Amino acid sequence: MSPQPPPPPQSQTVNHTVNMIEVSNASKSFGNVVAVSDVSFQLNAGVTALLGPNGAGKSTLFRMLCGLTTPTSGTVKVLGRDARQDTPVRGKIGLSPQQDALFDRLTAYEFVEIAAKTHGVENPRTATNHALMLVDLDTVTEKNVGSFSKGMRQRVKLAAALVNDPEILILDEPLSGLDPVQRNRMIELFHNLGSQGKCVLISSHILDEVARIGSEVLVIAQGRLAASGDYRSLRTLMEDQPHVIQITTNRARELGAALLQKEIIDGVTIEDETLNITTSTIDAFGRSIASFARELDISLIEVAPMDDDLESVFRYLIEGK
Amino acid sequence: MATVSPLRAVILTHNVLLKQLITKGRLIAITIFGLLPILLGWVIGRQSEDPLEAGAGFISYMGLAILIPVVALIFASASLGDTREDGTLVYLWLRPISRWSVTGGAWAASAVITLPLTVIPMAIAAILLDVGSALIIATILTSVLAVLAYCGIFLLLGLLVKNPVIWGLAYIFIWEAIVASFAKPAAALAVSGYSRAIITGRTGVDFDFLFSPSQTISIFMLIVIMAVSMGITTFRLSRIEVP
Repeated sequence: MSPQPPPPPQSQTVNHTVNMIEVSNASKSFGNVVAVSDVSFQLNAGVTALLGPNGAGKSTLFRMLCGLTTPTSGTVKVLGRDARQDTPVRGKIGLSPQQDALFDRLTAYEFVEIAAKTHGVENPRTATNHALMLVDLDTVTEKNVGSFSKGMRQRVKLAAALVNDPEILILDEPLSGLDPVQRNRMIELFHNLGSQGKCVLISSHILDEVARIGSEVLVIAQGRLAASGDYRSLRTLMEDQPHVIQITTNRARELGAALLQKEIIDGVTIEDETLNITTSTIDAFGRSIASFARELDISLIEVAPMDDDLESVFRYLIEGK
Repeated sequence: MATVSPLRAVILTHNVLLKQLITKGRLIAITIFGLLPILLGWVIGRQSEDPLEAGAGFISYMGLAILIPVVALIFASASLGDTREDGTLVYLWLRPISRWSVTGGAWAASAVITLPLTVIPMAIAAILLDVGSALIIATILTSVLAVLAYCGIFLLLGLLVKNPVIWGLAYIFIWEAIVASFAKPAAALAVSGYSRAIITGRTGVDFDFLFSPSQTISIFMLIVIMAVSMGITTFRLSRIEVP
């Protein structure tokens, strides 16, 4: 059974005259360190992934959205309000923070129930059980969260964020620590929530994860918004950049020469049994390398992309190299 | 979504934080600490030539100046301070409840656990001193008021500084115990100055303290100290950078 979010309460209305999330020229500095620099974007219903390497400013941006910290300059509005000043709007936000800390002496049920009660949920018992079921923790409700694994702690945070059926869901690295099955189920849940008209903003530093989370992507690096829009456009942009691939083989020199001759690589450096090749035609390279090696009777021990990490993507997006 | 009343929010916050505050280690250590005044009260009651004066002095200097502030410091500074340090404050802060409710709940949690751990041993010590009901009633009244005031102060301290226990001990043993004994203005800014005044006022024992306000003023001031501390805590809570 795929996880289904709770039905939207009838009393809850979305004000469509304002963006659900609106960030205008927001910056945040801690002393001399600029964590977020002049970021602007608007979001409405649907799932959006916030992609960025560790230390890029994702969590600071999320904290500003929730009012946990104030922007040094610019404005941050959720449902047209400042969550730091406006008490009712905080009832429409569900946050799963990045930090691992929980009230460790509470059971999973108590932890989620206290969130329901402090949000003024009308039937906290039902809402708590439902939220725990959504994250597959309904069998361990009486266990103290202090005894939970990282994945279970992550899910209990999600349950607490979902229990009030919020219009805005801000989830800071919610998939970290989850096993692949749970990861798939949670991504499915996020999509269901997005299609129900909720604004779901999820951060991640893993590219493949972002590809599955949402079609809308915000890319943040060094505190700046490096790119935004459809994930496929971003991916195309990334594919235009030259890729670096490391190949370990038994005959590095022959393979390097042959690949250059075939013009499926742009350049190569050789070190012992290892080739570092650069190619602008990554798809063609991927399709042909195995058969090409077979033709030459060369053994490929390992083929590993050297730049399929976020740092290289961000470097490309920001610096164009 | 129904609105959460301020009182309900206080109770909910209190329930969560009380569970976090009660650890086996803390309870054992403080219970053992609490046995000390009981033992001393019994010894003083049997050996002193003027047990009333000795008893009032013992309650003032041992109970009100050491036991109560130290126990209140441990629980009240941790009540919000620990949540700020470990990052769990966000689970209370980002709720549609007033900051006053969070402060009230945190203060109530620390007071609820500090009161029995201090007032009961103090009352038993006063009984064992065997000098009549005036000292017992004065001890209970003063202890309760002192606990409430100290919990307010140390709740704020937990939110203001890192390592609040160290700062709190410095406050207790330097400001309250030493500075306030020699400087009248400092005594007017110390909980112990008012709590001692209640003890001496109710028992009639005259210690010739530098600072001797009336009982009414002392009770009023302890309540003011508590209220002001909680007000500043709430103000601080609304401006804090939540981790």
